[in-house]
Amino acid sequence: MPDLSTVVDLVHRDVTEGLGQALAPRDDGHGFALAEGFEAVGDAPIADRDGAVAAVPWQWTGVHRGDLLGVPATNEVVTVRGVTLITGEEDNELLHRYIDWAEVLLQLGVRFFDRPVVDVRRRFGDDLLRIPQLQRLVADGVIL
Amino acid sequence: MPAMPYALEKGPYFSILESYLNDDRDRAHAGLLALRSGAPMSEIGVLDPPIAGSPYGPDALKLHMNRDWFGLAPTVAASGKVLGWEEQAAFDEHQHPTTGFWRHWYGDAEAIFRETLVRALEVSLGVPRPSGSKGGGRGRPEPPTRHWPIVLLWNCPHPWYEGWVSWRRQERSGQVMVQFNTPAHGAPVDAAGGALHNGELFNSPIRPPGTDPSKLAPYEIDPDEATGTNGLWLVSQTYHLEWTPPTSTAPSPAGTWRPPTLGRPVRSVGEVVTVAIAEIDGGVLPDGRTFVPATP
Repeated sequence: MPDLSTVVDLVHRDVTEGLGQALAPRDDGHGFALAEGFEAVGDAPIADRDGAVAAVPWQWTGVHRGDLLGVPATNEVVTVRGVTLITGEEDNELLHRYIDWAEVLLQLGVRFFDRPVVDVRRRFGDDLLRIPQLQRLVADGVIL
Repeated sequence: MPAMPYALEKGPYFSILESYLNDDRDRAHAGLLALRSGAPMSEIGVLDPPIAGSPYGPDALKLHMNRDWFGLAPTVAASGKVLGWEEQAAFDEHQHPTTGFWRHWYGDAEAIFRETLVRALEVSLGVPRPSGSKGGGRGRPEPPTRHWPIVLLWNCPHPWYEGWVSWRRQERSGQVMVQFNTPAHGAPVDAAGGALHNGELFNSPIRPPGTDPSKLAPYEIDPDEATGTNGLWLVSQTYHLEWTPPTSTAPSPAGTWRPPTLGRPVRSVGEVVTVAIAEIDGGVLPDGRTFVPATP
């Protein structure tokens, strides 16, 4: 089971490595902070009864100076909020990162204005495969 | 109501509107004056006659235009008859965040649509803006000096609602091109089940070979030549294959982040094909559609 005395530092390093290039820490040095909501309920980390899973809610605030989700730098101050679950054994931990990316996109100014794409084969059935152009794609293994 | 399986379309309704604007100069001028004076778009006559082959009558089309395109609310008599239209409710981020059936957008679609047509007609007819007015003015009307044909297209999705007007003067005539860019829409499936799809985009221009040709006219893959007086072709690869990247929440050791992507990425595959789009999918009939005024 994970070592509860070190998982916060582990997550801190993980988040720094994952976000540090995109979101430069602010000048006050507080790029990483435990989520406020977590602090209200107890000390980090949260662990299940037998200690097999630990959870660290966190947030990272930084200036958007590098590519993030394919969005180039906006120089906006952005806060990323997430929860990382830690499983596995000490020195061999696995991290499961659940991050509110939709909120990040909102802060980056990315707008959603798409329409759902529907596969024409789902709509019209495999009758479509009688079209030579599609038959060739199937024969080449490009579409299944 | 009409579906939109591609990102661009003209379809039967814009075909009729083109005929209304292009086939009779006096009618086009009367339409311009009516739009300038504030006549509802649905009441200038273009939607009065039934459209051949459409399951929707004039009343249903007017309801669609006013409710779904412009966000207007009908005033209904006890008999159920629509007496008029009220402005949409004021913007409210909880109760009224969008206009009509547009997604993620609120604004004055009716005014944009109207002003775009007014501008296009002024270019087409060579009519100057009424002095001292800024759209919708009631200045003394100038007589038309020409009548350039207007081409209408609708592009969707776009972050917000806008109309584009471009033109090109030629040796003896000219051409006006209008494109409406609108937000994504979710066409409500009506009780009759008339809508095949609901704001979806198809990932291929190809259609099933067994479909009744009379329902897909003038659909054709790689047409040899431009026939008729109208056409709308799409040139693209055969298939737009979406692929799903690994989930960002899959467990991994520290320091091995895998951020998500913004929607599923697309890899277009196959030959480049030219497809004459079926009118029902937003294309145009080779001979277009002719607006015939409704008989009183």
